[in-house]
Amino acid sequence: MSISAFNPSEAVTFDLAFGHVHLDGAPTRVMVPADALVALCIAAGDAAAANMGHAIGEAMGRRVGVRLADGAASREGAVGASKLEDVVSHLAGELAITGIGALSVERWGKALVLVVDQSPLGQDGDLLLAEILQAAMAALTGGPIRVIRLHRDGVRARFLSVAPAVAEAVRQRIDKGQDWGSLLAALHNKESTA
Amino acid sequence: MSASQKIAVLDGLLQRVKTNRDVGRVRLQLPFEGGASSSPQADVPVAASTPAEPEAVLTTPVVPAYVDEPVATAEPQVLADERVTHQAASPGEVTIVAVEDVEFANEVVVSEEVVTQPQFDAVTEPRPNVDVAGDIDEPATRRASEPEPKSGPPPLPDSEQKPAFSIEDPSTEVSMISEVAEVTDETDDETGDVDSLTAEVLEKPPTSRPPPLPKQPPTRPEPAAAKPQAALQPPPSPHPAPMIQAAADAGQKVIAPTLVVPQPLEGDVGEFIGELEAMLPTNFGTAVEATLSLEL
Repeated sequence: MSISAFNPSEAVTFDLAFGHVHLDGAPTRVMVPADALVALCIAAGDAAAANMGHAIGEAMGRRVGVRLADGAASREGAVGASKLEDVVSHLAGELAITGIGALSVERWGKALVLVVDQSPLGQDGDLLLAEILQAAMAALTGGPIRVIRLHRDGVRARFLSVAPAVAEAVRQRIDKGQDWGSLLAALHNKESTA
Repeated sequence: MSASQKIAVLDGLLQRVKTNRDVGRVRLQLPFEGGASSSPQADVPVAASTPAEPEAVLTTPVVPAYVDEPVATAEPQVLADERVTHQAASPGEVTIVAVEDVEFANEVVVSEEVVTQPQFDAVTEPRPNVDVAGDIDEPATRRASEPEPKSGPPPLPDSEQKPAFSIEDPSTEVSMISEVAEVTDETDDETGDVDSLTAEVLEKPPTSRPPPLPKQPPTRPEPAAAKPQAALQPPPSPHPAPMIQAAADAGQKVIAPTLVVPQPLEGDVGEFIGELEAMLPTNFGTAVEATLSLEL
């Protein structure tokens, strides 16, 4: 199944006459400083930030799904059958034109790790970023999925996609300081010994 | 003077006023007697004064000398001067008009070069795979008050940085600045704001472009924490997605998404977890199912 690469041409329209910014297939946008957005999320609290991230990410995932499905009866099925590179390409494009950062994917064994580089949201925006990715992945797969920040190294943040049942255990291990490599290995060890 | 004569005189004056309607607004100096003389001058818009005048004529006595001294002697000169100013009859009389034009042109030059040009590029000239990210990140579109992104790519050496309105030929850039300076010199006497604006532009150092991203995604360093076991191997060096490679081949300076999907080599998978070999190549659904199957 061959899907055309993400094409950002005319994805964003600057309507200078009306002073609007339009994102293709989405309502009118507002360009705000990233720092101010992060500060607002911090002041609003985790729940409010998560809600906003969910709204942003869900719309992203839905747009990607519509493009990848290309009129197919089952959007989730079409997305699931798409090549991983195609899905990542389109999702990364969505994040890029939104200004959130550069998305890539690493596969460590079975673990699907989403990597976001150069995000202007910074470390304080990792929660918002995780919610955006989680909502986008959920919209793409049509099922529950959790995205947890695994590790941040400078401008590169890694997010692990796991099942909801495992999410809390993963969070606890991260909070205890377990390095992300050993955490991935532990996930596979349990899998291999089961 | 009889009432009919007064009416006739004022009708004549009104006709004069009507003929000057295109001026838009005239000032009539009507000498009145009695209480009405408390406001000897009044700004009378033409459209409003025309229907109101006849009643005033009947109730207000007019000084006879006014008949011999028509209104047009004093005020129409002012009107004429205004009209000449806007009509720009001759070069010698249109100094103010010329200065206004120069000022406007100067503002356009400054705004085009410094502020507005990149913004209109974003609207009118979208380029496939390039336009959105590239134009958004143009330094000219970024407000000076906004801080640079904290997590930007590493700066390039000074020799590789270019000004915001980079012109490859340095001589062209010099000529542009000198052209602005010439305009300023011509208008020094008339428009101080133009002078100050131009001076600001000339003194302001050119904004540096953000360092362009590498045309190919950098090779990811292998994190030390990624080796909890000897069997756990980091992913191989990423290979750029076709879109990124195409942009790089075209020599475009764009901030394109780093669409890197590093997939473990087959041998590494065998060392890591042997059963994962069947996962390559895979699709999105399979990858998601695999990661959702992980347990602790």
